[in-house]
Formats: sequence, structure tokens, C-alpha cells
Amino acid sequence: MPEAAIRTVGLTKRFGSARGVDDVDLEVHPGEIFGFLGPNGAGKTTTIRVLLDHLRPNEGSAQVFGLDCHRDAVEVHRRIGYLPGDLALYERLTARAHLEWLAALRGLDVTIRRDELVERFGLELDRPIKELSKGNRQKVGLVQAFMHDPDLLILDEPTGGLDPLMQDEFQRLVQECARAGTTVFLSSHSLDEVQHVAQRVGIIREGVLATVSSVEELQDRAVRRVAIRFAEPVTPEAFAALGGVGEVAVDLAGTRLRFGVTGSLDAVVKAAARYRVVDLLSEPADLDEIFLSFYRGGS
Amino acid sequence: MAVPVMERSLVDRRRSTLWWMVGVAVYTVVNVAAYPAVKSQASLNDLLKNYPPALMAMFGIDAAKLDMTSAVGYLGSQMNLIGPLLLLMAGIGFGAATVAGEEDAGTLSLLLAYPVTRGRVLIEKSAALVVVVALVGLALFSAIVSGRLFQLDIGLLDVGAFCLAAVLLAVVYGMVAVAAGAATGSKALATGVATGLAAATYLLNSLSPVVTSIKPFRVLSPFWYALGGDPLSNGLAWRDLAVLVGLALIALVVAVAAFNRRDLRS
Repeated sequence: MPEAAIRTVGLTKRFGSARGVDDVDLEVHPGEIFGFLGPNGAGKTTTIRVLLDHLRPNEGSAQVFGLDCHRDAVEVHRRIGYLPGDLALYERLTARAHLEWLAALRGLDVTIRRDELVERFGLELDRPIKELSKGNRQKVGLVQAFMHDPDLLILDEPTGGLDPLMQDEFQRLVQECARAGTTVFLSSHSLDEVQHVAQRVGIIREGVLATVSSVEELQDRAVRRVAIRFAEPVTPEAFAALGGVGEVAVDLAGTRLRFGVTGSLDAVVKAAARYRVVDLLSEPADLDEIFLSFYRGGS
Repeated sequence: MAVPVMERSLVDRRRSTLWWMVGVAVYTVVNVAAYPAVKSQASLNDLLKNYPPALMAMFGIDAAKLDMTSAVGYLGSQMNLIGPLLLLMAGIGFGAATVAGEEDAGTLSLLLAYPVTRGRVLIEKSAALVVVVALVGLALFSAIVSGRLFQLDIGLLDVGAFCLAAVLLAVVYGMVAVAAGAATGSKALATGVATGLAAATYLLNSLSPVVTSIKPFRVLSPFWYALGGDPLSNGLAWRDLAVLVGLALIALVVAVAAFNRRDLRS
């Protein structure tokens, strides 16, 4: 059996009053894109900082490619690319000087790959970091994480500050890396951010790893708020009877319906198609609702 | 051997290091340039003998031996306190900024996700501290030697010994700041601990000639080893030099041990 890219066993980290993580058993397979989901403050960053040996767990262990995250920290760091959630850079350096310095820390010449990434993201290399926008700083962070072609990418809220175009570019890059054999550990507070790239997703909430499942399984459980406006009054019962639809709210005129849908929207769209639809709005899946569905569904 | 962390620390602080060098040099040159005026005022010695010895001791001056009109006496009265003090401030400032300051700023999180050990980061940053303090010490040395243009005839070796003592002293307290910063991650606390310790041990040494009850404890003060032998007149003894280097190394070992033990602040 190949060594897990990331394995934590009974990982527990307590802070004085703040919440850490409690008894987290996590296994990320080599070569997969793993989404690590949870609301802010749930313990995502704490878990990542233990993997980096920035925090020492109270109990349990953490390994990367079979190496102990504390004892073999230097070897672990050699094999990972890391993008911090709250990226701090040396403000006075230009992006070029900064990236060159970071490459020197690894003792590697990564100029070719760096220039390729810089071009993809449209990063200006010769301006000081302090003059860069939040999005451009984030690009510096992404380039430094990817530029040495690491075996494992640990990316903490990677798309913060990136415009939608760059978010797409980022997702393409992640998928390319995965195809080339890189393992990607992607932390986020939004399912929609990871569901197009990740194969499996772990959900952490209040320091506890609630579930690990495939993205498809998660999408089946996702509850979306749907609002439909029709040209003429409709019978809400026709929608309430559909599988996966929750309580249906209807306005006085009987033309606007609001309800939650678990899983696929297919049945709802087909039912709506029998009427004249003026507008249809489907909100992104709410992570907390997915999480709660695991309790309600009893899996 | 590549030392990227040391290079980064030095380059990041190059402006402040340059200003420390300029400041120390200007202050010192102004003082040595005033020597010809003081040299002709023999009555100054009589005046100074009327000050309470304890007060003089606070300023690092041995009232019984003081001769303001001699080159060594004048230079000592002007620089024995201020020279090491300026270097000390530069050393503590750098020591606190280089580890705890980077942790405050958050840049340490990225650095320590790279394949470098915490120990190596501390060693390279300590080496940078030595370089910075030595550069400011070199400015002090050059400025004192420029006193030869102002009738301040004093041996190069004696000035060298004095500046070396001041540099080593500043490295010791700079390393205390490094260690306190490495142990806590707080720049303010690192500065406070090193400054407070410097003030307490300074008084311990400077008051020991006049307060007999504390005299046995002066061996606990790094100032005693650096300045107790009056390096401007007598040079620096090997034993004193070894003790100061040893203290700096002990601070480094403590810093590495404490830094390895704790969580990084976010």
C-alpha cells in the first residue's frame, strides 16, 4: 500500500481558551485533491499548522509521506508547497527578489517554472510587495507554493482576493498538478470553491472532523435555497410533493415560491417547466446545512 | 555555504544599521574634537573631585583616578558609559526585531514552512546580529581614532580593546533579546527583558566600588567583564573576553532550546 500523503491519528491541539482540534483522524491519498472544508475558526488552519510543525499537538501524531511532521520537519518542508491563509511577505522586496530569496532557501533554481507561473497569473515581478494589491500578493503566495513542483501542496484559503478569472486559472493549475501526481490539500470555507476540483472532502466543525466523503455524495446532501417567480399563480403542493424539497413558502399572489432542495435540482426544474418561469434563483450550498444533514440523515 | 536567512536579516536592517553607524560616529567625533578645549582646563579636575563618588560611579567614572586633562582620562569620562550604551541599544534593537519582530509581522510563518530548521534560523540571525554590532563598533573605533587629529593621543590597541569589549557586551545583550524573543515571540517583551537586564547589571557593576555590600556580586554582571578592567587603559583580558563570548553562546543555546519547544504564534 502506498504511503498516505497526509495521515493524522488522534490529533488533538488545545489552546488556552480558544478552540483547537479534537481527535482528528485524517488520511489523504497520494495524488488526490482533497478539500478540507469548515467554517472560519473550525480548526482548518490549526490542523495545517500542526502539519507544518508550527504547532505541537497535545495528543496524537501527524505524518506527511510517512515522515513525522515534527521530527522530520525539514524533509517534510522540502516536499511541500505551502500557501498560508494569512500570507505575510517582506514588504520592501520586489516580487522578483522575494521569490528568488525563497528559492534560495530551498537551494533550487526554479526560474523556468517561476516565470511560467508568473505569466499565467499575470504577476508584475518588479514592483515592491508593499505596492501590490491583495490579489497580486496572493499571486506571489501561489507562485512560491507551486514553483518547485512539490509532492504535496497545502493551500489555506487559496483564492482569497483573486478575481474570478484568476480563480479559474488557479483551478486549472491545481488540476494539472494533480494529473502530474501532486497531492493537493485545499482548505476552504466554501463547498462551491472546492467541489469542481476535489475528489474527496473532509468537513471539520468546532475542531471535530465530522465526515470525509466524496464530492458527489456531499452534493447529494447539499441543501440549496431556491426561489422561483412564475408569470401566473401555481399550486405549491405540486412542488412540496417532490423528493428532496422542504417546506414551501409562497407569497399572497401565489407566483413566488421559496424552498430548500436537498441534492439534485432536476425534479424541481422539470416541475417548474410546466409553468411560465420569470426568474429562478438557486443559492450556493450552505456548509452548515450539509453538516447538519449528516446528523439528521444519521450516516 | 549559503546563508540566505542571515543575508535577508542584514539587508532588511541595512538602513537602520547605517544610521546607527552615522549617529555613533557623529556623537564620538564631537566629543573627541572638544578635547583640546578641556585639556587646557586643569581646574576641571578640582571641580569634578567635589562631586559625590557614588554619583560619579553611576556614570562609570572612578573619581579618585580621574584626570580629565589626560587623553585616556578624558576619553574614558566621555565614552566609558555612552560608547557601550549606544552599541547595546543597537544590539538589543536588532536582537528583538530579528526573531520576535518577524514573528509579529507574520513572515516567520512562511520562512519556517521552508526546509530550514528553527535552530539554523536562530544561528543565522545571531550571526547577522554580530555583524551589525561589529559594524557599529567599527564606526565607534574609527571615530575615536580620529581624535588623534585633536591631540587625543591614544594607542590603537587600547581603543581596539575598548571597542571590542563594547561590541561583545552589546552582542551579549542582543543575544538576550534574541533568546527572550525566541522564547516568547513578543518583540516588546524581548526589548524589555534585555533592556531591564542591562540596566540592572550595569548598576550592579558601576555601584560595586562604592557600595561594599554588592561588591561580591559584580562578577554576575557582564559589564564587569567588559569594562571592569578599564580596557581603554589596560586592554581586554583573555578571561574577560572568553566569559563574554561564553555568555553570548549560552544565550544562543537557550534561544534554540526555547524556540524548538514552543508553538509558533499566528
